Formats: sequence, structure tokens, C-alpha cells
Amino acid sequence: MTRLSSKTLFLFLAPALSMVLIFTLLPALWAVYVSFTDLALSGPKAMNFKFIGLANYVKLFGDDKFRHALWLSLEYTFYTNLGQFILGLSAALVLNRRKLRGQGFLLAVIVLPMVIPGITQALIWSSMLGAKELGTLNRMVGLVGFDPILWLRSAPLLSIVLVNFWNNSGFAMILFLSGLESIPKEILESATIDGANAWQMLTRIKLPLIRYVVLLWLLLNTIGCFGTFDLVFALTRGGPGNATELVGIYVYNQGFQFFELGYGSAAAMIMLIISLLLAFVYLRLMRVEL
Amino acid sequence: MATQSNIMLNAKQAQNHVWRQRLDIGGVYLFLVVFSIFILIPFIWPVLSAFTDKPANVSSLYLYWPTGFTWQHFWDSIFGRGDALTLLRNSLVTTMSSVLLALLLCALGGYALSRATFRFKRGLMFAILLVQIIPGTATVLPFYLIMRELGLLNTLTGVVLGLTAGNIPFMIWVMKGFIDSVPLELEEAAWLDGATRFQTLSRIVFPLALPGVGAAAILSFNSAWSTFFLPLILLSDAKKFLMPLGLFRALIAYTNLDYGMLNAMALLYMLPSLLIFIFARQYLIKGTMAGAMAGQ
Repeated sequence: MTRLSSKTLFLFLAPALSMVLIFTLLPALWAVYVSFTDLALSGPKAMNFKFIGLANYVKLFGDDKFRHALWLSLEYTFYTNLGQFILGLSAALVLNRRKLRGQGFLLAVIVLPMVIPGITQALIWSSMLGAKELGTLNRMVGLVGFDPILWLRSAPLLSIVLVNFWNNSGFAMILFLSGLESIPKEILESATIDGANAWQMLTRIKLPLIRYVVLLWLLLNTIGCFGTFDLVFALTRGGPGNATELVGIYVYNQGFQFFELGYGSAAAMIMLIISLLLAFVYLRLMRVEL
Repeated sequence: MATQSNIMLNAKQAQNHVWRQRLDIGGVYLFLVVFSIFILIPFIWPVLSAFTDKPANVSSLYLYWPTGFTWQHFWDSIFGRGDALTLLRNSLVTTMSSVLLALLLCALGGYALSRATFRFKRGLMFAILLVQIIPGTATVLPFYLIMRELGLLNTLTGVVLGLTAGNIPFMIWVMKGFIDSVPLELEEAAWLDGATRFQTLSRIVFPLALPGVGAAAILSFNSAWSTFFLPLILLSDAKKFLMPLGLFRALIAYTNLDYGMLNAMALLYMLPSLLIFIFARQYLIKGTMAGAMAGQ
């Protein structure tokens, strides 16, 4: 009786697995097929679509807008990772092993944007990044003597990267903090006795010891950046022009603006392959037993 | 003499040390305060514009000196053209349904994964994690087609099913973990007393796993509550809009935007997230960690 009979096992697992199968796995597999066709969302090609082999993929790599989207996603990923690493690590180092007044409050504040829905983040930041001297960010840079900038027009990438620093540094911080807290005290004490300074402590002891957590964060964040849609779409809808058209937004636009399901699916495939490769590395690192 | 100067020197060193430490702490506080201000400043505008009247001839998109406190924006958003009640109701119904459905399905599935031994179990667990990591934007086009085939476009049922499917991988892992921690001996004792598998499940295993399950439910709630992409592609009828979609439509309407009302709506929408943040922050942090460190 301690073991589940195979019938019960199937009965228990089937509902959950079939949901995932129908709404996640099937779309992924279907996307593979659709990416080799000229299927459209409406019009004649919605019904009479045909198999066109690799044509979508060939077209894709000659498509400047797609290359732009891919490159933009890479840039976005690079800058957000860099900034979050510095901000998240600094905050984690400061909050780790120090008895500071208001520590709990500060931790809470940094984590706060993580619970705020993406659409309201976009609303909030449309005022922050507002044009002319009235936008909150422009008023702030005005205080230190800079001229107002049309953030979303002249520095669109910087703007969305800045919003990402704001809403996601907390994630990096709590992961790094958990890593730092698991470093045995004795190691740090003996290093202090040996006369290591703060920088040496960080680069020779702390970072090597939490490299595992850092790598996990890096992979998760990179996958997240490649899938980014909500906030950037709501804030800029990919514009101005296509200055913030990340891969996710590009795929959405191909499907729902231009109705090119086949072509859009080919773009989605590239995205899926990148995500799966990163995810695979991540899961191997987690040492999920197979 | 020598010892005295030594003592003097030590005292000076100690004082130096104290000063360095103070400087150090000062720098630390400066960093944290600047960081916190960076995080908190964006919240001033929505609160200000939702609760106060603006002076005439000033755009409500920017910070202004309020001329008075008012509930008018909330009144407009709920009883006026904001239609917040419909949006909130739609959001609440879909979110709660999907969380409850996911809980039920994952309780059963998690139990099976925890108690059963079968050949492809590890492979299956691995696959479930992999699926969780696939970004929704990568599979959206065929997902839309499947929803169309099933006749679920523009229905809240479609949204519920989509949200549930999205929540299952994370939750089934969490469930399995918590059920693992309930000793099998407790179940066996109940079986000896003649209880069936379903009875032990509902009376022994789940009540014991409940605290952990609650944490998973809170996380799933917040993620479903915030979801914007799914309703965006599925819903076209304004009567069925969820809150995020309603806000988005209003936001891109551009002409004659009443930001006071919009922010009142946004605050109503953020309320559950803020409550979770205030009362269940520890769960949220632990859950995020568990999500990132799944499988460890």
C-alpha cells in the first residue's frame, strides 16, 4: 500500500500534466511546425498556407529589424546584468553581517518594486521619464545642473535599462545576500587576521565563494531579459520607431500587428532556442539529478 | 617614556580606527539612503495625483503642488468612467480561479511525484523545470491559435486556463517538496485504521503541508494578478478586460488622459500586491529564492 499503483499515479498526475502539455508544450511544438510555413493570422494565407521550408529563417537573418531586435535584447541584457550586479551586490554586502539601524526597512524598500505589477510600473515611469523639465527624473538631474533630456526619445535604451535597475535589483540582492550569509564566519575571521583588506575580501574570498549563486542569477536574469515584454511594451510599445523593440516585442508585432504567424514563429524559435540553451545550463548547474 | 609614547600612539591609532569606521558606516548609509530614494521617488506621483486636486493649467502627468485632498479620483474610477469594479471583479475571479485550480491539480500531482517511484520520474521533474523557464513570448503565436481552436478567445475561461498552465510547473515542484516533508509513517498508520488514500491525503498530508502551500499560493496569486501579456492577446471585449488590460488601454488612449483617476485605479489594483508585500514579505522572498533554487 505504500507504493502508488500505476493507475492511481496516472490519475493524480494526468490533470496537471495535460494542462502543461496543451497550453505550453503543444504551442512550443506547433511553433516549430508553423515556422516552416507561410501561415497568416487572417486573409487567404490563414486557410491555404503552405510549407515553405527554411524560407522564413533565411528571410529572418536578412531582416534588419530582426537583427536589430536581437542585438537590442543583447545590449539590454548586458547593461541590466551589469547594473543589477553592481547595485545588488553592493546592497547585499552592506546588509550582510552588519547591524544597521533600519536594516529591515531598507531591505523591504529595495524588494518593493518586485511585487508591483508591470503595467503600473509603466504608468509610474511614464511620469518619471516625462518629457521636458517637468518629468521627475529631469527635475532630479536639474538639481545637479544637467539639462532636461527627452528620456524616451533620445535615450530609449538607457530609459528601459534604468527602469529594470529599479524593479529588479532586489532580486539580485536577495540571491546574493543568501549566498553571503552562507559563508562560514571562520573563513572571514581568519582572512581578517591575515590582514586582508575589504577589496581583497571581496574579490578573493566572498565572490569566489558565492560564484555559484551569481551564475544562477546571471542565467535566470538573462533568460528573463530575453523574454521581457510587459513593462517595455506598456511603456514604449517598442518605440520610438523600433528603438526599444526587444525580441519579445518583435515576435508580438509580427503576429498581432502584421499577422505573419509563420514568420513570427520563426523569430520565436530563435528566442526559444536561446532560452532553452540557457535554461539547460542553469538546470545542469543546479545539479538537478537526472 | 617609551611606553607612554607607545600608549599615545595606540590611542591615536585607535581614534583613527574609530574615525575610519564612522566614515565607513557613513558611506554605507549614504549608499542605502540614495538607493532607497531611487526606489521610492517613483511612488510619489501616483499617490499624490490619486489623492489630491491639481492646480488649473498644470498637466496631471507630472508632479505638482496639490491644492487640496480629494476622494474624487477614486469616486470617478469606481463609479465613473473608470469602471474599476468590473475590471477588479474580472481580475479577482480569474486570478482566484486559476490559483485554486493550480493548487488542486498540483496537490494531486505533487503527491504522486512525492510518493511514487517510477522510471522517468527524474526526467519528468527536469522537464517540468525546463518548461517553467520557457518565456511566454516565445510560444505566444501558436498558443493564440490553440485558444482559437478551442473557442476560448475573448473568454475569461481561456485566461484562467492559460494562467493555471503557467503556474503549474512552479507549484507542482513546491508541492512535491512540502509533501516530501510529511512522513510516510503518518499515512501508513491511517491506512491501518482503514482510511483510503484520498482520506489520508485530505485529512493528514495536506493539513500538514498547508503552511508551505500557503506561501506557494501567495506567490502564484501575485504573479497571476500581475499578468498582462495573456489578457492582452486573448481579450478584445472591454466588458471582459482585466485590470492590467484596462489600465493599458486607458494609458495608450493618450487624448484627454485623467491621470488622477488612472492612478486611483492603479492604486486599487496594486492594493493586493501591497498587502502581500506588507504581511507576507518573508514568504515572497523565500518563495522567490525557492523558485530560483528549485531542485536544490
